[in-house]
Amino acid sequence: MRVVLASGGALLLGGISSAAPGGNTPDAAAGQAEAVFDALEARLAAAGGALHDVCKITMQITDRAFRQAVYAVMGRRLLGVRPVSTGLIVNGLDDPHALFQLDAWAAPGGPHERLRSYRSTSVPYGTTHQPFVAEFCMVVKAGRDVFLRGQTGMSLDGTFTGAGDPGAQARVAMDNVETLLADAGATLADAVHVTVYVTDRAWLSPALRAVVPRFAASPVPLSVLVVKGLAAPEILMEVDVRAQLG
Amino acid sequence: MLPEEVPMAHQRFRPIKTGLYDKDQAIGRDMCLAVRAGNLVFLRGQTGFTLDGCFTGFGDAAAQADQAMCNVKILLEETGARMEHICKITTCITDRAFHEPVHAVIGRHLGDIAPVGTSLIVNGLALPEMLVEIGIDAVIPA
Repeated sequence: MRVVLASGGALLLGGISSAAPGGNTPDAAAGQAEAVFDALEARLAAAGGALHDVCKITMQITDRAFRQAVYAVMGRRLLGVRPVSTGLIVNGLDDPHALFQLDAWAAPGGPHERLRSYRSTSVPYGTTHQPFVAEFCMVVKAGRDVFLRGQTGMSLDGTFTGAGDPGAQARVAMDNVETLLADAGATLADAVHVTVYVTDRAWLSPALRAVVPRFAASPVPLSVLVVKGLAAPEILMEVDVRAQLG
Repeated sequence: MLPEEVPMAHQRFRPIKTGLYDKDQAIGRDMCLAVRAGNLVFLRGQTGFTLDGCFTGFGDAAAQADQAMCNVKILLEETGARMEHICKITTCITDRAFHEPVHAVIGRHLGDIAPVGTSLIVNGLALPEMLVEIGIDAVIPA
């Protein structure tokens, strides 16, 4: 399948991986990540884009043990880009030897409006800080496209609440979504798609009970995935909202 | 089928009760199966559920993928899009063993259409009997 497609101005880049040999180690994952970001740059350039056009990335790794190594590569390769990000730990990727896979959404005309920028080292993930260094933001507004960081039980001031309680985490996440949409001049009525990730099927009902009613006035397509893990073990759910200003 | 008459910018198609997918804890609130925002089309991830809410293809990932892709075609056409407007297809399966049969089915439905693709093997989908879910992003050319 193709990896870049330009349509209506937007660039969608999906399923970029590079299964270089080297075993199942953080070093091997970091090596793959370097190749993935090489490919991202090359494919963006081939489509007439640049790194500063990147709005959102979804980082997919197969083991939490690879997170620091892969994210350190990402932080260096995307220095100054400040995308919004969603990070998943999954059982497997398209290529059985891949340890890391990247999806990216880009819009020409960057750098775009990036709200609530932060450095990874200045905020906790769940209850603890993580050593990798990267620059992100919470909202990217690219024309009418609004991209949010995947939201969790971490409030926007960096406090993690709802330990062991996926419903409480989902309520915080959705409060964040509403605040961040408002930052971009949008509301839940502008949402066009929602994905809810949970780390155990048992978390699905409590998470959805907190998420779904928020969309009662303006229903959206919902996708649900049970994944192996999110940014930190105590994060039990994450919600990804895409919005489009009318 | 006409879009729901709702006073908002985006067109929303086929409202559903999520309780359908959440048998133990019926939520009873509406989500929907498709949204058209200008020339962008977003679909709910499609599975072995027919658009009428019947589950097909128990234990058969290829059959579920076939149902999902049939749904995708119907939903895209209801929003005014066509299969060739698919830009990205995200395939989530619950076991690597389903990779080949599922992608064979998807390839048959896509024919010459070459979207961006991403595949994940996940721990689970909304219900245990779901073995595959297909996410679609489509853009209608201006």
